Amino acid sequence: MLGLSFVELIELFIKVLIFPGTLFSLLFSIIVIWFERKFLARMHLRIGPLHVGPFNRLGLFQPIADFLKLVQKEIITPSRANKFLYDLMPMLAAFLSALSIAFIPYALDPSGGYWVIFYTPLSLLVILVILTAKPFIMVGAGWAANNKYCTIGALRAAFQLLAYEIPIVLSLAGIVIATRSFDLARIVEAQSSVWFIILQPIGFIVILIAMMAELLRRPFDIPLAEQEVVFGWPTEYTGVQFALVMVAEYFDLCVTASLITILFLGGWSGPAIPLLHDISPMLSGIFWFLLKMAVITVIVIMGRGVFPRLRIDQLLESGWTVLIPLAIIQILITLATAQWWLPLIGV
Amino acid sequence: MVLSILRPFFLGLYHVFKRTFTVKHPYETLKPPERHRGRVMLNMDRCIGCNSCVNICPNKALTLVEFNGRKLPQYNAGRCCFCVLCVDICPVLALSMTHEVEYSVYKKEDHIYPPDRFSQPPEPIKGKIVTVKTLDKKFGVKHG
Ligand code: SF4
Ligand code: SF4
Repeated sequence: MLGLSFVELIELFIKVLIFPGTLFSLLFSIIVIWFERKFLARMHLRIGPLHVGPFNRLGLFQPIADFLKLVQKEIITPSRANKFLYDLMPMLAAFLSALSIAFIPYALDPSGGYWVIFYTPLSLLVILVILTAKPFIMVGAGWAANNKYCTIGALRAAFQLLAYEIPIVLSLAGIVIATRSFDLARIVEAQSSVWFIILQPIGFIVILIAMMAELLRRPFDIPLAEQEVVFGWPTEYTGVQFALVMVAEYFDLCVTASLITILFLGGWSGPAIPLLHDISPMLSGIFWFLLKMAVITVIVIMGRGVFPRLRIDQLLESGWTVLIPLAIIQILITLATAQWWLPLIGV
Repeated sequence: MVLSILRPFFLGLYHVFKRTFTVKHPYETLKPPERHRGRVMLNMDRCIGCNSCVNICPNKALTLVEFNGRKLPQYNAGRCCFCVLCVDICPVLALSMTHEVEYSVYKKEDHIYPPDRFSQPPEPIKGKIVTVKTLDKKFGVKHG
C-alpha cells in the first residue's frame, strides 16, 4: 500500500491519529478554549468556568460539555440559503485548517528525518496557499447563508484577510531570502545557532500582528463584531456546523502558533531536557516546540482580553501604511546586512 | 504609541494574579449592609389588622386575609419593591425589614407568605459570609 513498509505505515498512522494529527490538534483546541476562558476571566477579575470536570472548581471539562451540547442541537438551514454551499463551507473550513497541520514538522525523527505527516520541500508555500483559500470559504459561507449580517461579515473578512496576507507574505520573504528555501524543516535547521526573532525582529512583530488579524482575533475581530454584525459570516450556523467553525478557528490558531514557532523561534531546537532526552531526543524537541507554541498562543489570546476592537478604516490603514512598509524595510535590512548574519545561519 | 500597546498587556497579566471580584454565591454570600432592605416581616402579636399597610402598598404586595379568626396581612415577595412604606405606616410597629437574601423559588406560589410564614424570620445565610471590607481593601473600592 502506497509503497510503504509496515513500520512506515504504523508510523504514518501514529502521525495522523495522534501527534501531530487528530488527537493532538483536538486536544490543543480543547485546552486552548478552556485556557482562554479561564485566563480572560482572571484578567477581568472574574472566575470563568467553574463546575464541570474534576479538580474542585476548575471547570476543566467545560469545552467538552459545550461541544457535546452543540452536537446535540438541531441543524437549522435558513430557507433562502444556498443549501449545498451552506452545508459545505463549515466542513471545508475545518478540513482546510486541519490540512495545514500535515505539512508542519514538529521534531526530529529518531531515524534521521522529520516528524511530519507529509514531507515536502515546499511546505511553507503549501501552507501559504491554504491560508489564501480562507477568504474564499468565508465569502462563500456568508453569501450562501443569504443573511445581511453574514454577507457584511464575509465582505469585511475578505477586506481584512486580503490586506493582511501581504504583510505575512512579505515578512516570510525575509526568511525565505535568508535560508533560500521554502522547506520548514530547513528553516528550523538554519536557526541552530541564532533564532530569526533576533535577526529579524521587525518581521516577527509584523507577522504576529498580521497573523492575529488573519485569525480574526481581537483587536482585529471586525468581521465578527457582535455589536455590529451579530457574529459575522458564521451567524446562521447552528449545532454541529457551528462546532466545526469553532474547531476550524482553533486549528488555525494551532497552525499559526506552530508556524511562528518554526519561522522565528527556532522550532524544536533548544537545550536537551534531562529526563525526556534520555527516553528519546525527539521528546525533548517536542517539549521545546510545545512550550514556544504556548507562549505565542498566550500572546494571541491576551489580545482579546486587553484591547478594544479597531474600526475597519483603522485596520486597513494600519495594514497598508504601517505593516507593509515595515515588512519591506525588514527585507531591505535583511539584504543589506547579509554579510554579517550569513555565517550565523547553518545552511 | 508602542508603550500604549504594551501597557495593557502588563496590566492584564498583573490582573491575572489578583483576587477575583466575584462572590461565588451559593458558597459565599456578601454580608448584607446595615440598612439593607430585605423582605418584610410581621409581628403577629402586635398587628391590629388596621389595613393601613395594605392601603399604602404601591404594588399590592400585601392583602388582608382571615387567619385564626383574625385579620392579618399576607405578603407576596414577588410583588414587593422594598419601598418600606408599609413599615413606616404601621401604627403599632408590627412590620420590619429583614436581611433576607435568598428569593429564588421554583414556583410562583412560593413567593406568597401567609401570616404565619410572614412572621417567621428568614433562614440564616448558608455558606461563608464575605464582607465588603475585604474587597474594599483589596481593590480600593468604596461601598455605601
Ligand atoms: S415594602 Fe413597599 S412594596 Fe413591599 S410590602 Fe411594603 S409597602 Fe408593599
Ligand atoms: S399596618 Fe400594621 S397593624 Fe395595620 S394591618 Fe398592617 S401590619 Fe397590621
